Amino acid sequence: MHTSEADAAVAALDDHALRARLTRKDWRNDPLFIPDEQVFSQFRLARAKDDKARLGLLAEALNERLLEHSRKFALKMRMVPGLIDDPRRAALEIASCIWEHLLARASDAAHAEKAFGQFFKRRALDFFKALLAKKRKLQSSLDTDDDEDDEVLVTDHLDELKDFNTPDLLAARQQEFGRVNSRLLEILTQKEYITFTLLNGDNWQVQEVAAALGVTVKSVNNYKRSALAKIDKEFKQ
Amino acid sequence: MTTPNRRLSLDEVLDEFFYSADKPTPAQVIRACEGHPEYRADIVEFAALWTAYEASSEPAEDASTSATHAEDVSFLQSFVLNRLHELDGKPASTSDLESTKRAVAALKGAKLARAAAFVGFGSNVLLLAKVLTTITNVPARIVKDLAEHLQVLQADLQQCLRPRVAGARSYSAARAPNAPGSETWESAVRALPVSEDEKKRLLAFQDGDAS
Repeated sequence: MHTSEADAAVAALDDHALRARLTRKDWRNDPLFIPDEQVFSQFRLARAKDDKARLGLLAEALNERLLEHSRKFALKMRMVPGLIDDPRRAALEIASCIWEHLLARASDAAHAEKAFGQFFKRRALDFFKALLAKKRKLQSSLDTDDDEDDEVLVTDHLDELKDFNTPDLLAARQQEFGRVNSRLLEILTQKEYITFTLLNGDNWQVQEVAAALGVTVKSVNNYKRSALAKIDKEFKQ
Repeated sequence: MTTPNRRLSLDEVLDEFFYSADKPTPAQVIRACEGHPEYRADIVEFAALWTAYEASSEPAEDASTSATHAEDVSFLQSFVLNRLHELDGKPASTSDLESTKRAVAALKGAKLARAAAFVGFGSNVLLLAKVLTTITNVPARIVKDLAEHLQVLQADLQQCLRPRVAGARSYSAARAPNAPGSETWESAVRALPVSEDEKKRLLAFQDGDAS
């Protein structure tokens, strides 16, 4: 975390010197690199003082960083090309959303000053979740009979799947998750996605997923079975 | 989990949930769901997306796509400065953004059809649904007329239409992925199952935007 001393030192830089400092990118090794938290803190200070020149300078630096964070988030979450066609567009949308929170919500701004990366992840995940909700809303407004969740729930005659966890099995599950993750949101229903991700992405127990979803173990096993069948069909070439 | 004196918003619940751990654990998720059963679906979905994020490998860097483009920085700069002007430049009157969001969310069925007719779409209800969800460059005239129909401020309505993105493919597993989710006004109109004359009429909604 940056200190008030470091803040004062940055605040004392003239615009030319600050611009030069803001171009430094090596956050791991360069002691003169200005962390995101500090750039944003200075931005808020300039906003409070209505120092437009400083505000523009710091906003530009934050924009470059936010676009880069956003692009990496979009790629890591496989939003591109599945949910948004263009990585630049995805980055712009995420960054705009992040800015909206930074500018309009005092609690978010305060958190960003302390832990910018953590704040970014929180809001970027929110953006992603809202994007999915919007997509589902659009889909449901066009569908009249989209009730595959119910179809899964009424398959009461399936045996419960066994859930033995060995280190090899856990590793294999995570490897499988990484392999198919990019297509999951496109081929699975919401509950199938949640079930598959929690079981395979972080090795939850079936009982734990059931408790979280508020459904029976049998339902979770049905979601799991259905998800695996779809994944098998999708990736069986 | 704290015992709230008032009902916490979903945002507050997710904040409390997210900022209390490095990654979602079963115990933490179940506790949050039990504490806020009204948000169970949102909490679990958020936990799943968070889990997916933590479990996903870092993207392979492609030199052709990794650079940040100056025009994107410039675009974002305009966005930020405009928002600052809106937020800091206006008097501290109460924002009607929440009521605008509610009005937009209520646009379904017959209300959606009435709104479509009001803004001049005729019976093309799908086009208005796309205005609310996927079209990236909604003509200003439509925003103005829709704001008038909903009796809300244009600026607030613009906020509700932002970010202008939506999912690109079907979430349903029962059918093949469908059309791209974000599209331009022109492509949305051209995709409508209407006559060429009607498309020409709808495309003309953009005419005032270029000036």
